[in-house]
Amino acid sequence: MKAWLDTGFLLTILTHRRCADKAWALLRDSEIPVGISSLQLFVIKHGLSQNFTDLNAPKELLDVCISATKLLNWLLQQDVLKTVELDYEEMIAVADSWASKLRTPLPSLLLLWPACAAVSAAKIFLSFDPRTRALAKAAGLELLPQKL
Amino acid sequence: MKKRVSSREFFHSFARLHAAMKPGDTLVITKHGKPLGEFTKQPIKKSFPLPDLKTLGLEPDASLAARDLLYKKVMGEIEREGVA
Repeated sequence: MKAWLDTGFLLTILTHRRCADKAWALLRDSEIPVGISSLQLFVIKHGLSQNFTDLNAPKELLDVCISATKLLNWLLQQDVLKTVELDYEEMIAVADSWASKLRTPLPSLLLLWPACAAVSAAKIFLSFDPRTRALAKAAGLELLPQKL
Repeated sequence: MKKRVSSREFFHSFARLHAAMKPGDTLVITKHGKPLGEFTKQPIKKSFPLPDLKTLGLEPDASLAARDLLYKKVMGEIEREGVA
């Protein structure tokens, strides 16, 4: 598994939000399957599913949510994405060591996504988030896109 | 679990070991039972055609604002979880 997806990057693809075209282009040029952790998948699935039970959610939002869920399943079925078994103890130890060095605290889960990539021995980290990109870069991963 | 082989076996039986590996598989090479390094068989680069998401029903007709809103909601929750 050479490339690893940041959670926000995958969510960009799934929701077809702004810059989804750029994300699709980068994904298509990547060696597939692209890696992702079961934790990331759980967080995305759970985040999407919460909208299904929100009675006040606008219909348009539900439509995006349904298509995002379908697209996620399709990407997994087509082996474009593949969950990778990780040593979670090691991953948390890596995230913990970063957390202790950061001057500005980051949300815990944002520390974990690049830690997943680092522990999985991926070479490339696909992300649009400067915070997770900085950590991945420090761990020696190549970043895509190269510049934001 | 990655397969472990001794450095002796790796050098003397490379062709057999390589043939038994799938692209992307990794062998841990050991000496006296301790890992020396790893060998990974080159993964096959497959590119996939960009699917017609509309036809497959995988792209919503929703506005860009609704798409952005869902992204922000899910990511917002991820970030809140971290701070709580």
